[in-house]
Amino acid sequence: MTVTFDGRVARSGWALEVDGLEMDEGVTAVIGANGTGKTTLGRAVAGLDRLADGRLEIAGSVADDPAAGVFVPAHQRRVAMVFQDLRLFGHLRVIDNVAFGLRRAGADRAGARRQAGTLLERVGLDSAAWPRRPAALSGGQRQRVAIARALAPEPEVLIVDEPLASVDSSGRAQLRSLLGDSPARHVILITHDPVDVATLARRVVVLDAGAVAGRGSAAEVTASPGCEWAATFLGANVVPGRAHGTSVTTEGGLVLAVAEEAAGPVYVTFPAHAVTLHRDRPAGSARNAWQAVLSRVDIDGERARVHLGGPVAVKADITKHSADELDLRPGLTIWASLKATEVTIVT
Amino acid sequence: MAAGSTNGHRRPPRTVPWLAATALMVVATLGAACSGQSGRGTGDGDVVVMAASSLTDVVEIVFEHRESVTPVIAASSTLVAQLAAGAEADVLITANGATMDRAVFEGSVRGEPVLIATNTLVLATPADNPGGVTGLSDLSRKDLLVGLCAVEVPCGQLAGRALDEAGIAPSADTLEPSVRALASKLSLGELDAGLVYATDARAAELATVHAPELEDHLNGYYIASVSAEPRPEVQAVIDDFTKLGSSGAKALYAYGFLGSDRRPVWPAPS
Amino acid sequence: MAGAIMSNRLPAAVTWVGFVALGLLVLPIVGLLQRAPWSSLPSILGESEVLEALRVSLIVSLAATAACIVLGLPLAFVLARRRLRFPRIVRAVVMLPMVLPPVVAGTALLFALGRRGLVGQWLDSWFGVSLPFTTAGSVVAAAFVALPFFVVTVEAALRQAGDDLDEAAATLGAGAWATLAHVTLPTIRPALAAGTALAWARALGEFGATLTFAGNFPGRTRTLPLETYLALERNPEAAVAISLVLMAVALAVLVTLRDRWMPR
Repeated sequence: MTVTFDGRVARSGWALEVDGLEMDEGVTAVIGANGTGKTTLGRAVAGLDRLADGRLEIAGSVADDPAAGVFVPAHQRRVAMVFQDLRLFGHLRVIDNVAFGLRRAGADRAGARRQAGTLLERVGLDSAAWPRRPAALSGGQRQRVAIARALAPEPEVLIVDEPLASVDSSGRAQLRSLLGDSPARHVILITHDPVDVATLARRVVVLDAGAVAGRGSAAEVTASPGCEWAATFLGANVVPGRAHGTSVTTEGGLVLAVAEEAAGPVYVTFPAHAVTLHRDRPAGSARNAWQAVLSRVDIDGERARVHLGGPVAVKADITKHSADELDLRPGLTIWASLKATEVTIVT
Repeated sequence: MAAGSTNGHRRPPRTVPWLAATALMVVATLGAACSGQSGRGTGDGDVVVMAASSLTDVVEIVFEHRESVTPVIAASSTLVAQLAAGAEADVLITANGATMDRAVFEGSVRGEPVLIATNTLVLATPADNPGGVTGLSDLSRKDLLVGLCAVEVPCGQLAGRALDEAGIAPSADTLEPSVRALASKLSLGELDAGLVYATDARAAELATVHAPELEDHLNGYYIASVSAEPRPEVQAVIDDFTKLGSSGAKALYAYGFLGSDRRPVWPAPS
Repeated sequence: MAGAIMSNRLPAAVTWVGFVALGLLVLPIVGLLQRAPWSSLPSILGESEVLEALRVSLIVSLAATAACIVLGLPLAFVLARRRLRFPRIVRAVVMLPMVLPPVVAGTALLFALGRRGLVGQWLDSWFGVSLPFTTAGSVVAAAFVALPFFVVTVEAALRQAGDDLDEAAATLGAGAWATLAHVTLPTIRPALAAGTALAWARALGEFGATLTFAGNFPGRTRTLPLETYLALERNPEAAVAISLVLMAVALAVLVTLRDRWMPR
């Protein structure tokens, strides 16, 4: 069961060209800068945009093949989509928004509403909001409705375009776990959030200027991101831990000071370039300093990406010049430091 | 004001008076348009002549060389209503006695009305007479599309009388509020038969079917001075229509009007 | 009424001219009200001719409105959603009846659908159908002038709504008809209501095209506006009385529209 995308989608002024992209079951994260074709990729899979040429297969059957004259329209594809702008039906109650797909599949009103209620419970929307119109809900609540609505008709493929942007942080973890064990066989996750990639994605597709710049597991793509944007994006460190006040204890036992207060399980994220390396214990303002064993150094032009092992796996971007000065080699024990203000807490 | 004195560059916006002036002009123009050309004062040798719309062509010919004359053309009843509402004019020509009667009764017209022409109803059909109309009694045929004037307008009243006297109950399909509209529907072939004025039948190039029952039913055209003592130039305009062999009489004849020696249904008010 | 929040930023002259314009609109209505024969109103409106005309008017205006919806809705969709070759020209043609003098509109209808018209001659010789001087003809004339009001209103709403929600519906398994019925039409319901009301009000007040194309016969084609026009010759008081009825109906429709459906 795969989604195979091998073709071209023409837009005004540019085109998305995808050569032999295969997406197996599970979550595929699609990343890339704005305007690189992420949404277009999703729309083509959903059947909202047609291929100019090439071939799209979903679960073994051809969905779009202009040369063969095949185009399965969106409503026959079993591909649901959570749109970036949500697109909830303003004239329908929340419960009926979710019931919409079930009704189209032939369910009666009562049955569809029952099922819709179950889904709304799963996405954590308070039942007081069910009979209201979407306009009366907060941004985060609307997002949950959109996800529940897309999941309702039990699609083969669920495309989620920037899903968690407007959800409050407490809801994000819940929705993330929902997407993680989504009933849809395939989830195509268009995202700007490194945590999504680190925690959900079985594989990552990097788009750059309308073409696939990198693909593979998160680790493979991180090693070979294919473009500057993805390198920076994937350079973000994502470390799970438990927050208590303004400090977080990571899984390896390292205690990090952070600038914001939180409690319970969280992710700590910070960019690779925020980590500085020292031969000796650093003095000064950086309160977060720890000793780590250097596991690998990747040199890419003037940039060096340093991979540190225990107590937590962390990436650090430094200049090649500094790397030479520090005389870095695998196995070396070195001091790493990180400013508390560079750390973002994601729940 | 304070801002103006402390900062020499900042003046009160100039657009405001312009805006106001423009608005006033718009209102004034609209006002003038609503009251019609009659708003032009009479005097200075100018003569405003109000004439029934059936006289459009005649008036044009007669006043071709009188540049001082401003014709105002509308339905007779409209003209009388405008006069009553205070429109200024020097001469009124109506297409029937009843409207002139009303103008005299309301005091809008003080001069003596004079009959200048008569008009007769004719049984008219499209040029090819597709319904095979042969006489007035055909107006009661159900298979024909028959048009008459509405009873609210003079030609309808005239037709009603004539049909009554002839004992014919017409099977009308439309009662047109204007004889011109009726004539043009006949000329388009949308109607098979109708009763229109002889002048309109001629102008619309309709075929006419001999109907002796209509011969006595004449409509009178009257002219009168608005003022009891018309200025000489106003009298000259009236003379254009009333004098034997005048240009008005000739033009009326040329357009198919009958002479003033006939007796219209409604005599002139005394 | 003048207590707008932004009034301090509005030049005084604009406010004044605005009120002059309002006066221009209100004054004729005041004139009508002041001349209204209030005491004899019931007896005038109870006259059989007036009731007859009212009946014809209701039949004609409602049938014309129905025609506007049935024909106008697809046209609005074509204008809003189809890529047309000459969109500006097509849109201008659609709006033409709004600016065409109604008498000209009626004459044009005669040329097209009259007994000797372009299409009308075939209707007549093949089916024996002749529209002029029939109630159906009045409906055609009223629909012709009212159609643009419906189409323009609905098209604007369709454009504003875009096809975002239609796409969402498609990804949820809704086919073209289901999307139309369950998403697109409910979404533009306010515009549908507004367009319907506007078209109906226009059809109710239609005079020139109806008279020219369908003629005037009591109980068949004589609508309230025709009755008003003729009453003006016969009995101006009656004309004022009937006009009041027309005005009250139109005002009621527009006020309801403003309160319920128009964005504020």
